[in-house]
Amino acid sequence: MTDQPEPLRLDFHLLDRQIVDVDGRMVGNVDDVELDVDRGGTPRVVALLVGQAVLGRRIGGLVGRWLEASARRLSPDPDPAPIRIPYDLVMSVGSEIELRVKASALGEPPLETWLRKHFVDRIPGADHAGE
Amino acid sequence: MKKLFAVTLGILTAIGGFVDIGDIVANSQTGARFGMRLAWVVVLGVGGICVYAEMCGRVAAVAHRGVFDLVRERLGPRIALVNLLGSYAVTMLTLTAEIGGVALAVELATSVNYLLWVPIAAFVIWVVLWRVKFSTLERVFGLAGLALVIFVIAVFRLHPQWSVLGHEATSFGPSDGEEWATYGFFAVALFAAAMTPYEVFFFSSGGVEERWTRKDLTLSRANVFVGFPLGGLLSLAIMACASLVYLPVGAEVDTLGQAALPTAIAAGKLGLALVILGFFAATFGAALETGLSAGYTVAQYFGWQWGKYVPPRRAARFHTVIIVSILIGVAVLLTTVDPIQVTEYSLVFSAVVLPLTYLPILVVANDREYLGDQANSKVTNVLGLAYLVVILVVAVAAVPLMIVTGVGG
Amino acid sequence: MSRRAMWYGIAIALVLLLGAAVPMLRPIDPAGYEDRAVASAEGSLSAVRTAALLARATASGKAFGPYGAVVLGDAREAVATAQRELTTARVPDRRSAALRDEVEPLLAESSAAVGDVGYVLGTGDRAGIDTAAARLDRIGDRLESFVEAHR
Repeated sequence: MTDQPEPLRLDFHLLDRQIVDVDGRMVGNVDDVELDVDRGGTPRVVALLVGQAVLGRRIGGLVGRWLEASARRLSPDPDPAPIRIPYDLVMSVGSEIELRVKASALGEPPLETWLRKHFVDRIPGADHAGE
Repeated sequence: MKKLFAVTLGILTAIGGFVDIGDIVANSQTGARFGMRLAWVVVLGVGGICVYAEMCGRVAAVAHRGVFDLVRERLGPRIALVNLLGSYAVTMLTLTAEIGGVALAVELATSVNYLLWVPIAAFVIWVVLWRVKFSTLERVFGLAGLALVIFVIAVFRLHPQWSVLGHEATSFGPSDGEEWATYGFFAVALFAAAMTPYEVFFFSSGGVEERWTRKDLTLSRANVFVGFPLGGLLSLAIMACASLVYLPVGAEVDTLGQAALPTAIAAGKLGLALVILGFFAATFGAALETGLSAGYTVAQYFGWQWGKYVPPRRAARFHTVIIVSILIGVAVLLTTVDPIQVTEYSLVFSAVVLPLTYLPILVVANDREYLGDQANSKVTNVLGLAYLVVILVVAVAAVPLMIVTGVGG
Repeated sequence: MSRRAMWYGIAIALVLLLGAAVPMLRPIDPAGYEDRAVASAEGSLSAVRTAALLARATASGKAFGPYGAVVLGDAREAVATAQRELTTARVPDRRSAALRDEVEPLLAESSAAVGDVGYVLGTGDRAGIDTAAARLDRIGDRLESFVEAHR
């Protein structure tokens, strides 16, 4: 069961919050949420969505469209899909949204993967935290 | 004892790290043209950065988040995006100026043209950002920046008439033969140099990098309330040296070499060596900070993993932003634009962006959800609001003054 | 951001662009020329004073070679810039021509004096350095009088 404030306010408690995994690693911000309406007519949060294109669509207007367009350009896929985090993976909703799982269990943003494979990993010392 | 050591180290680092190319240029130019007449602006600016850096440190220590991390949550993605664009642009411009400053400092030591040093400096800056531990990086360059204390020594060795300096510092208004508009322009530049946006991005994200907790609140406050004012004293010493050497002969300061000359006159070759070392450390350290800040602002808006505390391959986008930012800076400098001019422009545009930077900090620091009992007190809020008014005035006045005076000409 | 906001943004950008462009497109008037002349004199004055300060510091063993070379190089560039800014300005009337006739020789002398400091410092001849510095002082004083007279 998710530890969350009641009543849960989408705009206040969920949207634009930082999502961290069980180890504290950053996953992304909540760029949008996926809702479902149950039989009683009450909307429930089904999943959290993380992705620049999705954020752009939510912001809307000229700025939002620009964000969406640049997300498409920066992604190797022609139609970048957001990372979808099913809501039952959420452990608690507080100043950050903590998940039950490691970040590696979720999809990795394609831009991060691409940059890591083609760029960062090629530089010596990329696996060193400098700690 | 260990805590005292940590606090002292923190303070020393804050003093040495306070000055960057913007402060060097703004204080030297102002000293040469207005003597100590604008010293009050430095005091005002230092006060402002103290108030706001304390807030940022508190947010880092209590909420374990960088302030800009929280801007999008509290003010919404649209406002935060405008904030991001402005902050990133100014940080980029400042980064460019700092890389230029490093190249100029090395030129002073070697007489090899600064343009050759630009790509080398940028590369070394990047390598340090890539490999060196965050706390080491801060300590080394912060402490090396203490070499700038030679400016304070130089002031005394130049045998000033203290009454004259005091009279200048307490007079309000330009000297004979200077216009109010120029006075205003330099006031704006000095204020922006003291309150440069990247300082707060860096201070707040840095606190998270160093894993600050509530126990570090004292350390954070010591850095801010002791370190920054002493750093401000260094700025005033730079202003005083320029005023003692250049104002009497009617010369203006336009180059880094000129900024160093008073120290040579006052303290000989040793003084000169220290000042060049100080310039190098200050600008190199600031280049590291602005490079990281460029990464912090973008990564924190989008929620990407950021920070030096994870291996680069776990924060590929963050490190890519840093690399791209450095490359853009190098490209701009290689067009042979004068790095001092780049610095002047970076100060003006910092002034314009100041409200975007500081208003969110005030909002976030008041948030009880993140800070609990450590949210802003009434006193802090009064000071914060008062400074916000000053910041707004400066931001509105900056570009008109720049145009009217032709960038201080 | 709505379409209307976009049009407002474009309008503001155009106004700013015009605001920046118009002064550049206006032909220079006598007051503008005087400002140019004074600016050139000021630029040269800074260079000359700096060179004198550097010369004396080096003579007293207070500065080292590479640093001095950079400072003098910057000073020469400053004088060259001052000369160029004056020459490239179109002379609008006879009074302005007279101003130019007053300033240009000063700039030329500055250029020569600053240029000479380099090799004089290299000789290490104390008397020669003092003479060079004194020459710079004299030119500086004349530049300063010009600037004061035309503020």
